[in-house]
Amino acid sequence: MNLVVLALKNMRFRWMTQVLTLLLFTLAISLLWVMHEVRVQSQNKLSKNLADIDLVIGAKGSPLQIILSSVYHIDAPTGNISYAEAKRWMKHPMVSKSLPLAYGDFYRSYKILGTDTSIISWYDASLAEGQPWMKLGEVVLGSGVQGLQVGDVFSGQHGDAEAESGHGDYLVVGILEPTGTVLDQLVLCGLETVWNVHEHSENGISAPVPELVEGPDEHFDKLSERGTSNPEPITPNPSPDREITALLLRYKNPMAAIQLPRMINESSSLQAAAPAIEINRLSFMLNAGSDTLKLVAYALLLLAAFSMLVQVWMGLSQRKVEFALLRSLGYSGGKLLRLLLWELGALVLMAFALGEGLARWFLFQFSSELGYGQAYSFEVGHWSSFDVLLLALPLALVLIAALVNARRIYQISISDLLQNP
Amino acid sequence: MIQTDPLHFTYPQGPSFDFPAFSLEKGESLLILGASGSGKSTWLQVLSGLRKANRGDVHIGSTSLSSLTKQKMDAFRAEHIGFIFQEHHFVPSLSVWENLIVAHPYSKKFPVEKAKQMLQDFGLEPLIHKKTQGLSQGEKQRLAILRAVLPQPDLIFADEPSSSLDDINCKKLINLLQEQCKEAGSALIVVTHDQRIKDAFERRIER
Repeated sequence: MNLVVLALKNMRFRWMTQVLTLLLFTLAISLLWVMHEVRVQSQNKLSKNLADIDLVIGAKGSPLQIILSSVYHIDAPTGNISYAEAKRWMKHPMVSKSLPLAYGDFYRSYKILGTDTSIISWYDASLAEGQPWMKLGEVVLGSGVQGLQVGDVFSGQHGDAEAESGHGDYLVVGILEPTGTVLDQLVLCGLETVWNVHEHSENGISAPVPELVEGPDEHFDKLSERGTSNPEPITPNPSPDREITALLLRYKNPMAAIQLPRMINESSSLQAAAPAIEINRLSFMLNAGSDTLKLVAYALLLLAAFSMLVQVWMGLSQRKVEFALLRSLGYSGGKLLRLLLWELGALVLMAFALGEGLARWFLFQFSSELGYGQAYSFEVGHWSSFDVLLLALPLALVLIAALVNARRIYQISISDLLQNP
Repeated sequence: MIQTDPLHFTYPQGPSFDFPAFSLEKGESLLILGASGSGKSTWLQVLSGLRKANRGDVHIGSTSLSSLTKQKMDAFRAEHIGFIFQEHHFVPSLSVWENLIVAHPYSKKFPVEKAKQMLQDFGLEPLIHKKTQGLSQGEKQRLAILRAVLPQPDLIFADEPSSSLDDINCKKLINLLQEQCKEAGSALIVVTHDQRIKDAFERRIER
């Protein structure tokens, strides 16, 4: 009989004694996998979304809040800043590139962001279809925005993604390729579109939801007739009292990293925040918690190994007769050791499969809660070298448990079945 | 089939024993009878290669047991020697049928038809899918004999096979054992202190 078959039958027969070890290994593997994936995927997403942004300028307030709201779009902004004042820094000699951001309405849970078309190249994105926005009311969708296609017209909701009332009309003119960044979950338009919609809102005029129209041109004809939106090309000279939410900057040289934040914070009413510093601080705080959990997971793994060692030790005493019988049937000590290895190996393989399944299910179920919404959801379908480690580590513990007991196995003899001489 | 020199065995810091030479052919049986402490189980262990004699050698077929390494001895034992113990031990996780398979040497093809026929002859056929824990003492006894004779080994050792049986069952067991060994062409060596089976054997060595 094949050793693997015999091992599996033995496992099934003694399942009660193995449940504890199986559970401990499963929990340890699950916990380690979740901790690792949350950390790695979060860090990847955080660094990918940084998109080489050196500095963010926003209204006075918490620097971390400015970064979270303007770079990761997972928090409310600290306030608005004057576009005229921001322009001063956009033209500063230490700045190589700049990108103004103005928070607009929502389409369902997707944020409508007023900005410059250079945001597309800033995030190394490209258009999957359509074209960039050029006129008021035109928007380009991130690849993850569901329910719309090029040519569609929709209404935004003001301030609250759950609000039902229509507020401003938009025309989809393009859709971006997936980037794996926060851009995928945004609806992009010109700054002027955001300002225009808010102007109407402040004047008490709510832009009505458009009727069904044939295409983009007809839509703009209709919007023009109503006077709720202006389908004219975006003008580059906005009035001086315009406001934006934040300004993203890239430095021209390393000296700027030392001088520019200080200059902004000291000589203006604005707040400069360096994403790298803020994210390091955030990671440090988060890692302290996750390191503790990781220690717990490794402790569980050790406990599982100890439980397995005890299980084997006790099991060998109880199974001495069975092993002696197998010796009488021609099973060598080495073969019995391999049988034990298969039994423990199968247990670990089962724990690995259960642990990985449980961890992926957990991350899938709680992805949105853990990941601050769709923009930061976690992937659960991939495999990495850490999975190999999660399998190799318990298997190494199996090997140790078997080797610790090897001497006892080799000492088992047919004599154990014979009557005393 | 089996041929021994006069053998001498000494336990480290323990008693020493001398065993007479004998030989046994296919289908023949031998009874080694002795009281507790007479060294009969030690003799069985030496004959089956579990212990090496300090002096003398055991030949099974053309193989000298003293020439075999421990590993080769395991393989040789699986191929050429069958055991029947006083307590009828089985692998508890396996069924009756699987216990026969697991006892069959790798080198020999498991004789499915013959096994089925013998299970029928032994009255065990309805139990083939049952775990051995559910068998009666008599069923276990028959299964243990069947397991030993099915691979048709050169030699079968039975260690105190009748000690726990009443007179009727004791006689039945020895008859069945001798009959099956003869059919399988195996030499049978029974080691016991049970005087009741003395007359069932033509060849005996009393210690």
